Amino acid sequence: MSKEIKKGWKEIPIGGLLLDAGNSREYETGTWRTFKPIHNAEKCINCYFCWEFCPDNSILIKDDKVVGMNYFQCKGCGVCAAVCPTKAIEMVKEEK
Amino acid sequence: MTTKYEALTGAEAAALAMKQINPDVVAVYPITPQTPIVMKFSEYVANGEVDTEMVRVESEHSAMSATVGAAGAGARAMTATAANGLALMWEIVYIAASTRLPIVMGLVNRALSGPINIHCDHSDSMGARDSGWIQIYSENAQEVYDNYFMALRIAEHKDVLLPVMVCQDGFITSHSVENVLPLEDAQVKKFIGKKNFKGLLTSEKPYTIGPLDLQDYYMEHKMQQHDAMKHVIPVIEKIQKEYAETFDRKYEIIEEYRTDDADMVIVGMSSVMGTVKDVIDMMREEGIKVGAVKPRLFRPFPAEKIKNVLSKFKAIIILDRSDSFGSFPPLYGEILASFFAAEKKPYIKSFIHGLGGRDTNVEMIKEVISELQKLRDTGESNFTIDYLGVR
Amino acid sequence: MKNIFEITWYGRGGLGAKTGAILLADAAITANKFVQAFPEYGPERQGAPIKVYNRISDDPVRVHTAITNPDFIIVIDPSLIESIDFEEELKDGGKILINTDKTPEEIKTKMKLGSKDANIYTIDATGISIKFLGKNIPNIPILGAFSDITKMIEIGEIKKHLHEKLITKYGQDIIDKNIQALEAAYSEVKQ
Repeated sequence: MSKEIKKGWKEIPIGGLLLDAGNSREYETGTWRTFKPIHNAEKCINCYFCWEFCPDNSILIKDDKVVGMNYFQCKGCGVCAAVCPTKAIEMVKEEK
Repeated sequence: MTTKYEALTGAEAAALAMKQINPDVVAVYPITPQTPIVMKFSEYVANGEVDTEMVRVESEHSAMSATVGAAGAGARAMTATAANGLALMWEIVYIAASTRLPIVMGLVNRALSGPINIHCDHSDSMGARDSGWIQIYSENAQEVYDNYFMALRIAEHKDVLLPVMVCQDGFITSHSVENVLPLEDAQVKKFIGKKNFKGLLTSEKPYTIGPLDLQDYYMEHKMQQHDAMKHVIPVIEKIQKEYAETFDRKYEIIEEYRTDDADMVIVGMSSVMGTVKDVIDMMREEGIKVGAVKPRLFRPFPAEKIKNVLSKFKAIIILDRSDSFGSFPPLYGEILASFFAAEKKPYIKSFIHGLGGRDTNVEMIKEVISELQKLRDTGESNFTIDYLGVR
Repeated sequence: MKNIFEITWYGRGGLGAKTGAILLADAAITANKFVQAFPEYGPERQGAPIKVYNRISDDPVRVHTAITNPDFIIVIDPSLIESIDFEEELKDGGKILINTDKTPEEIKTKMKLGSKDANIYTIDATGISIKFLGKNIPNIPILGAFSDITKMIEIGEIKKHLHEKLITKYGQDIIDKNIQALEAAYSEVKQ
């Protein structure tokens, strides 16, 4: 794990305020995975069950079609694979 | 400026000050002896004399929560409570301070039971002395009134941004009619100015208040609070000076009474000090050179100032209106600590008085002065703690 | 603390002692005095004995204690007479005003006065109150009598503040009746 340089008390907003909304986008949780979801477009019927259930909003949609996963955020929980009615998502071991 | 005195109780003076401040939000729950503040302010709201959104909550926990919510969203928000009410809002009291919200709260000092008691002592606010709030103590209704406006300016000052408790003695001040010289609405408006908004919380400019703050940043935020408290005393001095220049009403962080040629003093806070001043005048007629020192600010504690003021005397007795069971009573303990590094130390003794509204009368203050004389002459009772007027 | 005129009111909850003391403070402020008016609170119960205090002075009043040695004692409910230790409490040469239809001479025998040199006055404030208001709220007639005895406070000032303080709560009719009672009491004090 890389050593993050944290800011000092004079450099952060007072009172624990977070002034920029939606900053969790900058927080990489993709490193937490031990299994990784692989999307198979051929089997996918674009029912969006995976998109509905994903707790991290990591299912990428483009032009009404599921096009893959945001691996920067995806924690590899496997909910998407579990709910997929056509087994279009497969959990494979994360190779590191 | 108006020169017409009005007959107001301390609670009415507080409500009038709140009316003239005209805060955006007031969330309160009534509790004896703070109730008349709520009653009077509700009347102003019902009569349309203020623009305030008054939130009639179901408990003090909610009162402070709603006040925090409003202040967090950028509103000028106020509340008031006493004793068990303060106890019920406890966790949010800390959150208000650590979230750096410039809330002004009227605190009508009452014994924090038990056995159950509704009368004055300082056990409620003294319990909250480490909550991160600024605490100002008022001697009479006039001080209560004036303190509100200064408190607001202190709380909202960019170098401070901390909540302030304006304390007054339950019943003794809150329910006693006294002469109060009010300011005109326009004068108050000009003095307090517009709130220095960081911006209202809107969908265009969102921000997060009160997020989880763990090992990585919590201490940095505490350091900020620690540092903010250091700015308070110079800010108060500046604001008190401005208040004196604008309205010809002079207040000091530490008020001295007939100390010029005194070799011994009584130190205490709030309403008892009025009585002390009168008894000092009596004793002076008998040639006893005694004075009084009244800290108006307890948090942050003006340690350096108190040391400088008190080191002039041979003996001091400190009156505390609360106990710290198993330790030093609050004001006494702070003063002891202030003197630790001093080269010249007076004899020092503590009296705990007036618990649960016990009348601290003229005879008791005379007794304190006779103890002071003994302390000055013999030093025998140095570092002792006693209850005044206990059977 | 010199030159403070101290008053203790003895009453029962509901008889208006507190309102009386506040009106007195209001009127005294108009006469450029410094004042205090404060009750000795216990749990508030209608009918329970209560004490209310006034301080009136030419200088700012700083003392914050109960009054133990008043210049003037007002007994708003005569049933309290026998329970008050006038000898212990009243300042020497002080005055006592009692709400009763008896004369000072008649009531004196029931009072614990000892050797105290006291000036006793009586006023049938209850009688006046019932006559004008139809019920026993003797505080306003008492103020009329107080004004007559001490000449400290103008009766006109009491009228003004009575109107200001109570008009929204009670309306013009009650205010008018109270003013009649106030005026009646002013000239009916017995010494």
